[in-house]
Amino acid sequence: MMCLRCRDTGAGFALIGVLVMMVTTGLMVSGIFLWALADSRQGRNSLLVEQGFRASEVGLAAVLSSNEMAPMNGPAGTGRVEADWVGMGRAHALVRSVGFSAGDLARRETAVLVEFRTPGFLKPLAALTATGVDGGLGIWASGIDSAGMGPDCQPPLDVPGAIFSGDTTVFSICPTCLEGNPPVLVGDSLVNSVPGPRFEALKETADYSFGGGTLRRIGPKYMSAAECDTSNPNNWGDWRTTGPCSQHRPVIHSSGDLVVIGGGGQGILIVDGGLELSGGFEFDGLVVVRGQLKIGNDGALIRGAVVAGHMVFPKNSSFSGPFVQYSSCAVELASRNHRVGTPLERRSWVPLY
Amino acid sequence: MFRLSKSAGFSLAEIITVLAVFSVLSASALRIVVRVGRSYREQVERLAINRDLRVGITIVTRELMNLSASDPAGSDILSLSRSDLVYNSMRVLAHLCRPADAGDVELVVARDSVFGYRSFDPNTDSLLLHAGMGEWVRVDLGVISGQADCPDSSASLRLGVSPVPRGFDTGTPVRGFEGARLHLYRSDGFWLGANRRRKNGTWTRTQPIIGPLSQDGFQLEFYDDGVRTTDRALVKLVAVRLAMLGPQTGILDTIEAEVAIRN
Repeated sequence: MMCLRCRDTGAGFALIGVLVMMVTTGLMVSGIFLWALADSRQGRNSLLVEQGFRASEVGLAAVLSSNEMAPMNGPAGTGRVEADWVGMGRAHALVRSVGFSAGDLARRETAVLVEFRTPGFLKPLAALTATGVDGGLGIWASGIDSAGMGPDCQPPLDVPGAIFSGDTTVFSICPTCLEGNPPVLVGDSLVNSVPGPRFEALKETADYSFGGGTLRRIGPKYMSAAECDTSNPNNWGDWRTTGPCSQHRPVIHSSGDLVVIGGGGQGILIVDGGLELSGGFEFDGLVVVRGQLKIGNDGALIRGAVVAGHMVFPKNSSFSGPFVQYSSCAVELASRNHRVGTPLERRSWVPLY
Repeated sequence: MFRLSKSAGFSLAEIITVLAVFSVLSASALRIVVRVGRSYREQVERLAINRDLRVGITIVTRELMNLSASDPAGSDILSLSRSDLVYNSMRVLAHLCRPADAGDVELVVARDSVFGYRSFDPNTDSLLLHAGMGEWVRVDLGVISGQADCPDSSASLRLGVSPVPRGFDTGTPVRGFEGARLHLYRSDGFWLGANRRRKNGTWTRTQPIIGPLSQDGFQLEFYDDGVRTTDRALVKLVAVRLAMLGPQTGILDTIEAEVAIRN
């Protein structure tokens, strides 16, 4: 017979019931807590992803607005961004921006397609553009494009050997001294379009400035075997080899008459006065001379294009020329750092996930 | 001195009283347990709904963000209604590593330059080539083959295409897109689903994204400078609303977002 009041079995059901309820409630509360924790994490993840996305957009805006084609690595909004340029041929690039949030917990990547546009005054349409010309026999200027093939160069495209603004005496002096497609054009000269705010701005950004004078031993200078010394104003880059100075293409400006004897370089050479080149001086790129550009009797070679007020070629030279050899590649490489990169008008934004 | 009597027991009244009290306490406890259980299920479901809604709105907004409505070559939005959107969705980006001449039926793109959600898919994709000054030219994509024939000998993809209408330089951006559809459909409740369009015009099987939704659980509104529009070429902003039903408890939760289309 069951003993209801015995001390050894009198604990009853209350304690068990309470314990069961406590355990049940505890399990439920724990479950809700864990779910809430998971939801909180999910919410935080969403927030971090959004912050990463915003950071990547900040990076895009910063890189595009700087217009210096420089990478960016630093804080952006509530996150951090790494943005860089990815080349796509010579007319386009992709600006990629990776936004991070909460360290590297969240990461979003977006990009903008950019189209490069070279200012008009950096794209001469002939090997030589001048108001007039004077010289002896031989080839003065050739518009036959000597561009090499490679990732940095477009297929060759021949241009006129020279465009003159109105001086047609060249035909009577030496009808065969210019070659190109066509050899000579007479018409509007680019010389007239060179002055302008962008051209003046280009001079303001010159890497090296001279007041005029005579320069000798122009050529690549090195800090070490592997480092180009760009602080030396006589270092106009290496136009011959693929050494450390081969990518150095400075903008050089002279406010007065300049004489350069021997050596060579590459880039953009702007002379507000007159320019005389001799001693076998070689230059790859664009040469703009407000006054007269004279090639000495011991010769010089400009590979690229020339815009000059007046041009004088050697009359008694043992060199047969050409003294100005058009190269779309040399012009392209010289002006590459001065292009304006703008997002495509449509479909520029690219989600890279 | 107190002493237990061997004949001591409970009276009927005591037992009835105890049983009554125990019943009341048990009923109360059961009600509490049931209520806590229901609250637990609701909380769990609400959290799940919140999570699903966030995932759903993220997918939809990412799809919409990449659209271009005003392109003269044709708006990416092919048809629009309140709960059904058919559009061209950009999936992949690359660039030519060889120039293409007018009439060419093959494009060579650098494999290293393939960016985006996936690579080119000949079963679904068409292409847009950048022609300069914001102009894009549309060509159809055919057979794809891999070849190492970029000028620098790097890996390439040869894309068979319909005849190219004009010449394109090396570096020209190429975007691959496919027809896609987001819509509310009925299958054991209402769901948000997505389809891809095949080249022959048929749609792939509907891929559920989230559900069950309420009857009006996927709503789109299209705006042009703050004014609602139904002109697919004028759309600049899309407002999205998702409303989801708890399948067990029937609770309703919503999420809304506004997406400025970027392209």
